Amino acid sequence: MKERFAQLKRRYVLATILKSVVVGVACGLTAVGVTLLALKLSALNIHAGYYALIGAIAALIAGGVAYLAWLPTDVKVAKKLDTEYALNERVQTALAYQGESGDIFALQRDDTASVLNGLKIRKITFKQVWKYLLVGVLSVALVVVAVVIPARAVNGGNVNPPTPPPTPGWEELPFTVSQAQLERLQEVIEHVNSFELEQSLKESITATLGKLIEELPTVTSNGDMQYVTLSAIRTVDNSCKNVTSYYKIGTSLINMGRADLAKVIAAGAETYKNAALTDSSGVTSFYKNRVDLSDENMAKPLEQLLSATSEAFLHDVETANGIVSSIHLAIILSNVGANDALYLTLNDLTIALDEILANYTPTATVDGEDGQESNGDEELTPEQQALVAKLSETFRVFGYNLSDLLADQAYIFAVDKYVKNAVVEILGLTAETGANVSIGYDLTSLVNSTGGLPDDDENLSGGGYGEGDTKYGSDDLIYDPDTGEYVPYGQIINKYYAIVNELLNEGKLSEEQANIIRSYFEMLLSGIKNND
Amino acid sequence: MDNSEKVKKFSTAIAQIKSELTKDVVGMKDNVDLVLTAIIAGGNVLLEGVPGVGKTRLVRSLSKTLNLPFSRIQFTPDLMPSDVTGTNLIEQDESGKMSYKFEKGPIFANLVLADEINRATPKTQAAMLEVMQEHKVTVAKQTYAISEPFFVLATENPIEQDGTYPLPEAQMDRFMFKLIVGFPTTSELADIVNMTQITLDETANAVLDGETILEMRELAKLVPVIDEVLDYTVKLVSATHPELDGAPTVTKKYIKYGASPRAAQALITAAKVRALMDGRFNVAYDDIKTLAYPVLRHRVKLGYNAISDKLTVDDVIKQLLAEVKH
Repeated sequence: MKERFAQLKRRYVLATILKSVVVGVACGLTAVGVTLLALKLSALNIHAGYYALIGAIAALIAGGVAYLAWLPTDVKVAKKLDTEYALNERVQTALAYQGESGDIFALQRDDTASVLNGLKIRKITFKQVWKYLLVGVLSVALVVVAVVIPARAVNGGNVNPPTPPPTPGWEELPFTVSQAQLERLQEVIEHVNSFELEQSLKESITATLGKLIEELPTVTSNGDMQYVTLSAIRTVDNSCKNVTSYYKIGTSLINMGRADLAKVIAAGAETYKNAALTDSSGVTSFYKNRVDLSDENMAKPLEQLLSATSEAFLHDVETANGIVSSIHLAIILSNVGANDALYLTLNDLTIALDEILANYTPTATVDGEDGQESNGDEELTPEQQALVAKLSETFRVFGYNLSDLLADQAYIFAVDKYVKNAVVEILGLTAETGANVSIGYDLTSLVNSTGGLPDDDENLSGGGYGEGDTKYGSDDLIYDPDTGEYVPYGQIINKYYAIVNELLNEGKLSEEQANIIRSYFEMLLSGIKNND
Repeated sequence: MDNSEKVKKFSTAIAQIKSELTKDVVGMKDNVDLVLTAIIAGGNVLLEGVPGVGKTRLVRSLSKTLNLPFSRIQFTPDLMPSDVTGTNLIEQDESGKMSYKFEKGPIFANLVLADEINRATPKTQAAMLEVMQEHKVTVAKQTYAISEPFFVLATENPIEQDGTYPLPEAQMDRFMFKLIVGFPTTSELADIVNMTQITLDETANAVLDGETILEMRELAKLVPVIDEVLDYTVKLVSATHPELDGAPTVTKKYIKYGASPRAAQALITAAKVRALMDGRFNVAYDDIKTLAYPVLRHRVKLGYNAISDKLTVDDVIKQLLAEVKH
């Protein structure tokens, strides 16, 4: 009986091992599926090897636990045999009394052995294994679902694929300039020569382009081609910048609080930005229309400037003086030569405004006549009307002169823009490979970023003055070179005045110019004292 | 004779008894097996059945087959205890000397049929049941032993209840089994009619004797029972008590009083005999479950819920077996 029992027990052991393996594999797959699903929903990811590790560990643990739980001991096997084959507890009794020596026990064991030997082992039926098959199918299904399901989108929307980098190794790719390209570049030189530019500028631009034409046949890679091309474009751009002054004067005006005037200048000088300028005909057309374009762009900011200036002149002599002084100072501090057209035009403006001020005594108080607040609706006196008329005429002439010279400066940058567009197009540069190289100035953005005049007509006071207390100086913190700290302007102005005065005493400026500067600082200092 | 030979003899004897009994008794196969089981196990049987279903014939045939003296006692309300046990009679010898002589009553037999035991007075019932319990009779301070094997098959008529004295539970507990004899089937009835047309006498032959029965009884005691089966038996009997913790729902709802420990003893003893009769040498759960009905049905008293739900005691035992797991 023992041999037969052992044989039958082996069958149960094998079945237990198989069941444990199935359970282990199912648990391993389930662990992998759950992990994969959880990480996908969390928009996280791990190396594939970790999934295998998780699955293996889960399988081993589950399979081991299952085997130990189902471990077929002799008692369990005896019970299974009695139940499965309806043996009426023969095997369990034989096992329980295997040590007994009485006749009846021997008979019982013989009877059990006889029955066991005659057992026909039943085949495994679907009924017995369907649960394990189901578990296996479910675990596989879970893994499949976890693999198929897309990862959770990041940033609340579709997962945008990262911007593909430029073609890897573009710069290393070989480059050979074609004859056609060289010929087209030569055409650009010819077009530049035909433009209405000063000879020196023409020669500078054509020389740069000529040098580019010479260098291109020697370059062998895209990277080298890009380098020499962008260098040429920047050189042309610098050439154009060197002969224009509007940006320097414009920034200086902004620094001196004359952003309204800087806005007028920007409007007149940067009309080229809206032009396509991809071929020479565009440049020619721009040249023809340049003055009109400047006029048109400057009209509104000039009107605003006139209105603000008129207001100051009518009611506030100190402010009016301050306006004139700041313009003076701005053009001086701009480091533009005194023979520059824009410099001269602005200087003429200040002279004219000075003259107007000298011949007119505006209302002394801020509040208007008789201490009443000026509400803008009062009727102008004849003197005031005459003042306004003079100012209008002055600004008309100023605008007339300004538009001519700013149009010329705009034209220069139009040529600059055309050269850049033509060169990048001929040599096939794209936005990713340098075609978007910046050229020219952007005084318009600078004016807008400093809070220049709004485009509406309601606030015509301009640059920080109008109704209410007059404010001198700025609340901005200024760098103190002695202490290395940033301090309010009022704390540093004396130092600046001292430095400026020392420079003025060196006699590099005319007496008139020096007095203007000194009066400006004194005005600032008096204003700060008043505030204190 | 060693036990293996005894087992062979046992198996042969059982087969022979059954074979001989079929000559006189039609149907009642299960009841015949249970009566044999009770005889071998040393118990007594209470038989419930309508008149004419073969109760007396069964015991007569058994007595013939087992070659054991048989007596039948018809219990009536005027039956006295001495009518059962016997009495001392005055006897005059040839010399004219008077002396008492004990005249044995009908109880002095190996197989006794106590017909309609519930018609006798409680006093007579008690005398009968005392003999069943002690296997001896004491009259005038003199004890007379009943020869073994001693087996009583008592009957109760379920129809006529007027003027009867139902056995109390304490007395019922002395019967190992209570068997229900139903009306024979149509084919069985036809067989009975055909058989009794030939002769009304029992034609079974003797195949055993009392000594063999006792040997079989001793052999049956040796049949092993594993602890799990024993635990199940104890659990089953305990489950009939509603007052105990963990009593099943059916017990709490339908049973008023549970079975005594004699039920567990009867179950195990009878199960051993049944296993041997079945050709096995160990007690199985199936033995306990099958014997639960005859062992428990007269030991368990149902409550009013069972009566109102029209459940019989067998219905309750069936539900109990379903709830008590092994």
